[in-house]
Amino acid sequence: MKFRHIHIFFTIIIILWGGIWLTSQLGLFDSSRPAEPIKLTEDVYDVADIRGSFTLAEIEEFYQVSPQAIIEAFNLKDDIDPSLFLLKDLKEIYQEVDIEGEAYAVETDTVKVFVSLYSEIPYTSEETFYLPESAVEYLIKEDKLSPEEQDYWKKHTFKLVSIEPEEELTAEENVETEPPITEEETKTVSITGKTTITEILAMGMDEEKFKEITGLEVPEDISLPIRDFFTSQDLEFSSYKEKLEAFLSSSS
Amino acid sequence: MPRKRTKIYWLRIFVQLFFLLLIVLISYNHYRAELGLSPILVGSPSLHAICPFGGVVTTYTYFTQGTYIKKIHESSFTLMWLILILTLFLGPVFCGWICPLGTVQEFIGKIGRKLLGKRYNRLLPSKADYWLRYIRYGILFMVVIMTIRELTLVFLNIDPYFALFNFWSDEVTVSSLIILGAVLIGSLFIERPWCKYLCPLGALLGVFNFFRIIPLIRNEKTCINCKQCDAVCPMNIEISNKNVVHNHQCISCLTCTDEVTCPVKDTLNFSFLKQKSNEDSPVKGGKS
Repeated sequence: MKFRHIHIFFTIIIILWGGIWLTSQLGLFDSSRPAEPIKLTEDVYDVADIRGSFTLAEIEEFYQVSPQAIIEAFNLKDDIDPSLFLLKDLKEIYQEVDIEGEAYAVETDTVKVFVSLYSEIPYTSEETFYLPESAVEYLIKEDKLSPEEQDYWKKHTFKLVSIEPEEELTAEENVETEPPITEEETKTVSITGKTTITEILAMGMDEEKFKEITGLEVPEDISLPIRDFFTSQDLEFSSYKEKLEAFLSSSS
Repeated sequence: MPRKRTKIYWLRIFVQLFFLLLIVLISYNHYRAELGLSPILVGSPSLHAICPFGGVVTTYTYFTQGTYIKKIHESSFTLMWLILILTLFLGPVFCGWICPLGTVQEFIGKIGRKLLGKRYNRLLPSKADYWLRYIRYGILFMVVIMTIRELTLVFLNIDPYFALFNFWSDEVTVSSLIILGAVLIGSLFIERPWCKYLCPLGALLGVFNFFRIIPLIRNEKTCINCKQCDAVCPMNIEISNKNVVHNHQCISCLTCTDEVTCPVKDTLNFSFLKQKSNEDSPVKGGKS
């Protein structure tokens, strides 16, 4: 039998697309979920393999560092959802700070260093030589630093500064530096695709208003991220984002 | 008289364009997802999740530690096995029909062919060209060893494929952009320079040419020794002096076959190997 273009075309469809379909059915073709990190030993995961796509819940699962510890150490809002908050989101909350001529950002590598010190899993960072003041204080409070480490880190801290005041939805506001909000001022509320329906309702949206804006009933599972909810209804989150934000801003 | 190219030749271009557009769309969707926007038509996975080479470099880690290296997803590992199965049957069809970087090089090459005419793809001295083609095996070996040692996606530093479809991302390195530029410019002079000399995935898939189930077979009884197959081969393989082509550079593009170029029917085709074939034995010439 001669293999012509048409045969190769169908072979590609059968093996490649058929294979992708079959392995998807068998749960062997996951392109969205990050795989678990590399293990150093049977029970210990490598801190170096912490990824920006990890949630606080995954950090707890793999490294036994509770979300509360990270929330406190990085001055985050208490009510953030550990299963939704990604480490890379930190970069969007805090400003870069200039230390000794170099720009330091709170990002995934900062969390790696924190987790390494907290859980005593070895990790040598090539970029993080300073930690947020709150993180060092937390580590000292929890008795996680040796005297030598305390000596070093106490001298290598910086203060966290929020990028925008509205980040108060996810990050705790610096009360001392923030100007008081007058009655005339209204807050700008920002929601992202990861914001859950629970969070939107908590921001002041009632079920009737939700239906009025979206044309859809509030679903039974309100823990869904808003984008996933719209996608499940074959709708684009971006088409409703501004309307939802406008209502929440005006009602806050 | 040589026949004109048949309509069915467009089928490969259609498949190439389909995969090229698919990757562009997935990459764009991934960018949209980062902005909180919904994907269009298809999903928004990271390119790392749909590149089979990610599966290759993580294989050792998977079998020794039961996990994937950083940035690699289960899907790229599964995709690698599917591509290997496809290659076992038909050789590096992935390179000739699917790989979007190969497609881009090939399309740029069409401009080069117009500019340089017969000199296109024949510029390097044959001896240098012969040895340069083994560099990709060195790269494959180095990348796999370094990945095992570093446990990170070291290939990302030089990967022109990722750079091409994510050039706006801060994940793309300067070195990979430089290599991408060199490959795209090089494609004006040499057909598929990345595939020929540097691609580590092409190196792995190329090895399958030695034992693929459906090889390229030349019928020496009907061959008129016109050497048109040699002239059109994008990988510069000398086909006309082999009965069964097991060259490690063949990309199964079918350009040489009697469906596209070979002027004599039933003379040059991909088909199952018959027991009595004189495998890969050089012959002095076919029937003229």
